[in-house]
Amino acid sequence: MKRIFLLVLTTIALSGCVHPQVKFRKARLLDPTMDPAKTSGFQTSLNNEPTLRVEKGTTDIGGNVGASCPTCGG
Amino acid sequence: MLRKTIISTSLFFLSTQSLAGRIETAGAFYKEDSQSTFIESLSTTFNPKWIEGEGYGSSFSLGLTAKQTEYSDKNDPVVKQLNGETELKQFSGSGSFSQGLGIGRSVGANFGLGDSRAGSSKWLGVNFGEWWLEETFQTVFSATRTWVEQIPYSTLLPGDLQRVYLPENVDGWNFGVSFYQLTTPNLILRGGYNLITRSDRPNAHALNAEGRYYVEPTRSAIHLKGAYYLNVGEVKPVSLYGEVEAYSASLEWHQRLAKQWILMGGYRYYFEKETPVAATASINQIGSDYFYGSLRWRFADVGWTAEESPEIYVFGGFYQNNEPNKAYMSGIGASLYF
Repeated sequence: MKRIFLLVLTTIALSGCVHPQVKFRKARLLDPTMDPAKTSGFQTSLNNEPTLRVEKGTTDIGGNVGASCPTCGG
Repeated sequence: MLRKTIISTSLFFLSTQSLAGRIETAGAFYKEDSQSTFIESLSTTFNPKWIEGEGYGSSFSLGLTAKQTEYSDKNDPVVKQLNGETELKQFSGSGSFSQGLGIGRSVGANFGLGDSRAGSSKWLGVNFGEWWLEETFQTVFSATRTWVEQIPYSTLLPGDLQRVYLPENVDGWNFGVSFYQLTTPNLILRGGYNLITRSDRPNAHALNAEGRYYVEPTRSAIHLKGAYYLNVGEVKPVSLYGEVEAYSASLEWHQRLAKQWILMGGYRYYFEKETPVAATASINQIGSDYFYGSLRWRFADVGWTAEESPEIYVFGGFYQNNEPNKAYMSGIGASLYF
């Protein structure tokens, strides 16, 4: 039981240490509509589905060409 | 009983205190003349809090996708691979890990597996990203190795010549370099180059470029994208198609509405020129139009610098090409933060 409490206390203490991953980047994006991380994802990859069957330039081995595919990682 | 309750409550508390992350799920239905498909996806990304520190944070993500396709075209190569069966279920799982190496620098790895009755694939990749010029310019180098095993499919040509269309094993590399520039507060530029090698095709080269501009008075973002793909060289008699050169261009309008809505409308044009191989000379040019859009509702009106907002969204699209073929897509999704 003591170990659990100690673990909880340690976690609380460590989770309070918020250090930035970046210094400037966040301040340079004005809106979620500009952020690649918020305008892609499943919606983008699923939207791509109708193009996959016939368009060779859209897909290739290892994933979607020129894009990041959450399904295959390419 | 009390002990179990305390332990389980503590474990739950620990996980919520020690991890920050995101869960997203989405489903889509897609129908065209020759097939209909239902896709479900689930992914989660999480960052352990305790190893953050001046750019040394870590990030993990896991994803699962299931896809069910019903083929109405009996001549589809997949149907022939399946000995005439018209239903195919595909599953894939993927994961990635990213480790910060100080402010603005990170390395990552990704891997995955895909499986279906028609074949299986696996991939393993690494990447390295670096921010320059006070974190306004990023370069990313990546390399991904992919292995595919599939049910071989062959057909008999006139003159009793047998041509193998789909080989049993295919493997290849995808090497990429890309940049991402926060040019001004209103303008973002992105671009990249990929070299794709595979054992059954000549090397392919892919270029892509994108510009995003934010119009502050109307709270709109305009995204303009272009891509070029070149896959020429000796085409061995184990491939479905000949040499390929392709172009695409797309324009998207992202509009903030009221405080918590984002409406997006887009159009994409694609053109592909194929030098046919002897057995597949029926189509040598493809042109397509794709109209698509989405509506997102964010639970809170937050900007980029504030806390993340959960959201739900619906999306849809209409696609047509000169085969001729028409396709409709619709879907729904949601993302949550913890």
